[in-house]
Amino acid sequence: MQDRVLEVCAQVFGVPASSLTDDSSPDDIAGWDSLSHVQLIVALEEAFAVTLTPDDAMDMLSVRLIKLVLTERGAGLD
Amino acid sequence: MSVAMTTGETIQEARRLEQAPPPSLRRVRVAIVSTFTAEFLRPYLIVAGAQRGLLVQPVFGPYGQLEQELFNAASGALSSAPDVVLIASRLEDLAPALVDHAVGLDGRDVEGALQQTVARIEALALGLRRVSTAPLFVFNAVEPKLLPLGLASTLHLPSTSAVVEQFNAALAALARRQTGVFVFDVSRVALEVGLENWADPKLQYMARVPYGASGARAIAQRLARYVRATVSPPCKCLVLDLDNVLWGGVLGEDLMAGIKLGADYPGNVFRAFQRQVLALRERGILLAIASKNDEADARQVLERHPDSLLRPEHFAAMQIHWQDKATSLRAIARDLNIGTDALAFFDDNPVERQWVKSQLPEVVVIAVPESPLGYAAALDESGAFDQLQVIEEDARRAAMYGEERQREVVRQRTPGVDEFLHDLGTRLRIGQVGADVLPRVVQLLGKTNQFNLTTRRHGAGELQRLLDDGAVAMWLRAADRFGDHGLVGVAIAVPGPEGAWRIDTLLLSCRVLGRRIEDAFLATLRMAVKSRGGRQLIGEYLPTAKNHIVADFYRDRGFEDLGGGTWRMPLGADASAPTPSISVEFAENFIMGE
Repeated sequence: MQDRVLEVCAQVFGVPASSLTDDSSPDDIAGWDSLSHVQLIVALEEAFAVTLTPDDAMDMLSVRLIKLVLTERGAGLD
Repeated sequence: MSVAMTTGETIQEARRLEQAPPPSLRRVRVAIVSTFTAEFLRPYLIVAGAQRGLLVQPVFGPYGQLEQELFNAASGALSSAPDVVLIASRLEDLAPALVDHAVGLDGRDVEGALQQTVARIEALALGLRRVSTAPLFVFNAVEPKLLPLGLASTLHLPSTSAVVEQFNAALAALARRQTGVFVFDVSRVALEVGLENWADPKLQYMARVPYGASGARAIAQRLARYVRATVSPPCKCLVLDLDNVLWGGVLGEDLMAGIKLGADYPGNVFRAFQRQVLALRERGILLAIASKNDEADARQVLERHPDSLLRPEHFAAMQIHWQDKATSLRAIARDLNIGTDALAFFDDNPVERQWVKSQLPEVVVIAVPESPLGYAAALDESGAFDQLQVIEEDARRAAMYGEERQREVVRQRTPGVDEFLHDLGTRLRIGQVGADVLPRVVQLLGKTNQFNLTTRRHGAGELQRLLDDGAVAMWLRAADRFGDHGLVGVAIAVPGPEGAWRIDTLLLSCRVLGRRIEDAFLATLRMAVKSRGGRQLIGEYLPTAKNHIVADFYRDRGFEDLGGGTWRMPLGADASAPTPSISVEFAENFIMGE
């Protein structure tokens, strides 16, 4: 799952997956704005076959938090 | 035809298309103004466009600012000089009361609110017209997922569904009366996707995005077809294989008694497909056959099989023999006097499809699925016959090709050209272009390739601007003793300095070539220009891959060669020359100047 999270973020924000870390957040990714955040939510829901809540969406403000929320929602780790 | 990409892949692919656009894609700038966050559609739209051969370049205005964006040529949305403009609106945003509070409203309230909303859209369309000639698409209304009255909705007056329906009917009426305005049938897209999968409340409430990924994807795919229909004309002819296309089984093995065509499965599947094909013919698409079969046997099925809906007279051309299908397609195009790029090819055999693709890449080869149950959908999904409006001439076309075959007989029987023309009894009617004929005129401008001196593809808006600037624009209808060809010619001349009028456009449909109609038409244009004070006519020939037949048109008619494809003819006292064997009459609206 770890790699797929990075892959989806890379697709949505238009950056190489290798440039992303657990700490990556809207503060250091130029393409991470309110519209791409919505796109990210939709892309993650599709990629991991989960349904995210509005609160999940608001919490997912770094790669680390994305992984945490996805795990809570039952997306398999590894 | 398209494997569904995930949203992540779609965003990535859209970025790739924007950064390194494949040169084969046709660029189309689309300005989108909206009552919600329409930017969410962007990547889906770019990818769907590319699947239809388009490089869509969307430009979005800030949401909620319809008037600000459309009334101002310098606005964010319009400053890119868009080829297509889109109003992405929701009835919930334009007139919330109509959708949310159906209970408190009576019929008069609804009527008033609907009128007000449609009047606003009409004002937007007219305002846009002042600054842009691009075709305008307006989203119609989608039924809300939840009805305020629940089960009681249907019996309530006015029901929410009825209000939505009324709005959509009024919007369609607006599009019919305003040239260049079209409805984007998002309501239909929602029906196809299903309201259950249409919206994601989280996106709606957090970001004003009223569609989820499935909705956005479906909207983008349909929108790409609409946009494509504005820039490229539909195919003119559907070329069909026979075995396992128009009937089940192989005629050569199963014989007429053994092929599957009839009231029960699987024959009913093929019969239903035949019905769909026939419906295409009724709206003017020509039908042809390219089949490897014994011709006599195949004809016998079409003539005699009790359950065949398609009969020999429905086909404008038949190539039934054992030669390869690229050869057949070339012969069909030649028979019908159309380009091979106007053909769509439907064959269940992937090898034949691949062969035709390799030999004639310009032919639209339809991706036919293995199961005949998917034939109808594949034909529709191909978009080969996508057309924004079907008009009277379209519906008559297939019948006219039947008449053309009779004319061919006269041509072969009659010795001299003059005698032939006389025999044909050609009658012309010429009038001034007005709102009534504008759609047909724009259609002719868009698709006439051969007899077209300048190939200027004016849209309705540009044409209106020329007229407003004092141009003379004439239409020509032709008929003869075999039938009516309908509106087949357009001539436009625009005034210039010192009484020199430039012939902006002169075109004739290829159906009526070779009978001196062009001379009568040019003579009328000369008269019209002269009566408006014109002293000379300037003709241009702009060569394309297809219009070489008119390369010497002006030379042959005594124009003086000014070089660079430009020609001049002074309008002296002799400015009218009657054309023998053709009778010309003028429509009531035809004015020969003041």
